Amino acid sequence: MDKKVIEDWLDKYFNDELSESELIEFKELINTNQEFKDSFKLEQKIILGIRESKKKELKEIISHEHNLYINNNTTKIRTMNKKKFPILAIAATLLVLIAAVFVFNQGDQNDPYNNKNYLASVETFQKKNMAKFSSRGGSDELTTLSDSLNLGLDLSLKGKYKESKQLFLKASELHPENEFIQLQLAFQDFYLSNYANVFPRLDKIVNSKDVDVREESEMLYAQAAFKLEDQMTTAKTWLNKIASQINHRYVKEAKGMLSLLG
Amino acid sequence: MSDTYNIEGIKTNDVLAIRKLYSDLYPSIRSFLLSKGCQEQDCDDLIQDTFVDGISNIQSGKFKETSSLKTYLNSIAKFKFYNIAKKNKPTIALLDVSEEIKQEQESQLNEKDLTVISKALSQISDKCKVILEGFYYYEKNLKELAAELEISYDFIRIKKRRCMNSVKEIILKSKHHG
Repeated sequence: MDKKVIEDWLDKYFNDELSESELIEFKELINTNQEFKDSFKLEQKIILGIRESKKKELKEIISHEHNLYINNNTTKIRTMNKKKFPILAIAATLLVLIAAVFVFNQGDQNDPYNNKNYLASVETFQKKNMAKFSSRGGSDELTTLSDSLNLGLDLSLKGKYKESKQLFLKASELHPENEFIQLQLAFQDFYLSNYANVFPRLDKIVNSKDVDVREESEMLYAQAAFKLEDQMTTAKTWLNKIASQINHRYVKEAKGMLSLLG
Repeated sequence: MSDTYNIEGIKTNDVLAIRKLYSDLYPSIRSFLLSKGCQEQDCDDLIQDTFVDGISNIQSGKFKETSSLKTYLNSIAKFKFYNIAKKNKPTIALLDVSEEIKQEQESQLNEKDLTVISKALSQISDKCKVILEGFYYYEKNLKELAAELEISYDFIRIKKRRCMNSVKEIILKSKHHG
């Protein structure tokens, strides 16, 4: 059977353009023509694949939201149980918020840790990677990927975060499993103040076996959480996790922040 | 019926829009399911599935806003819960050709197939992705998509076919190589 004829039939079927009599003929073709049946089945699988991949994306988002909700809710319940000291609880929350605002907005260079220091550390990390990718050789595919990553990092370091994000999004389509690309997307969302978008990206890589990716993800999680006023508990959870790892690159900073926050 | 939720944001997977929906409606759906006899340990999975299906329906235009989102999600949750409850009861139904094929195909898409297809989809152009996802996931019609992409109706028909062929080609190639 001619390929064009098969495609015309399939288009009409999937575009919902078949008349009743054509639908009977269509069914007949499926039952009698193997080539037709195979093409039909493959396209059906692809359509289901399109729907399923979108749903998978959605499942990741919902699962993340569920965890966030449960974490926050647990804290709320715990706070509400401290009925004996409601004023103290409010005062403590206010102190934490004031300290956080101070830490992130004042940028005092004498502080054990401030947001500027974090951004400077990230910049160093980005520059180191840029150098790594510019000197990397290998297969065509690897060279193309290195070029893309190098360009993405360059754009980011120049403050062109939107352009950098677009480039990393493209790279992510071709290399969805690449953890470094996910980390970069999270960084660009952070720079663009899309803090809520940072979490689903980091959820995919925060348990990475790659130390660079994992440690940067953990700190970025804390940083992004601090930017959202309802995520203070999440931020503290991550800082505690970092502070408990003596060899973590941000251990000093995490301890400093925690001591300021009380 | 009007809702206070950002439907347009939900349609585009906006995290904050989804977060508000989830945090607002999770407690009431949970209480509702528990009142119907749902076991605590099953409830959370069921609720997450409910949100995935509900949001997916919003995105594909199946949610017509004739009821509030709370009522809509509650009805999905209830349906899912009852379905689980009668899971072991065999059902006999007369299906037309498309439903028959749908069912056959649904049982055939395994994790491996999904990985191959997802990988193929990540290799096609952005425009092709917009067309295929727009038509098959968001269930937009070809006229709408043509207007969105500022191309003619005739061309989008051709383009959609080319995009589908690109995906097929990538899948078939990967099968030959794998």
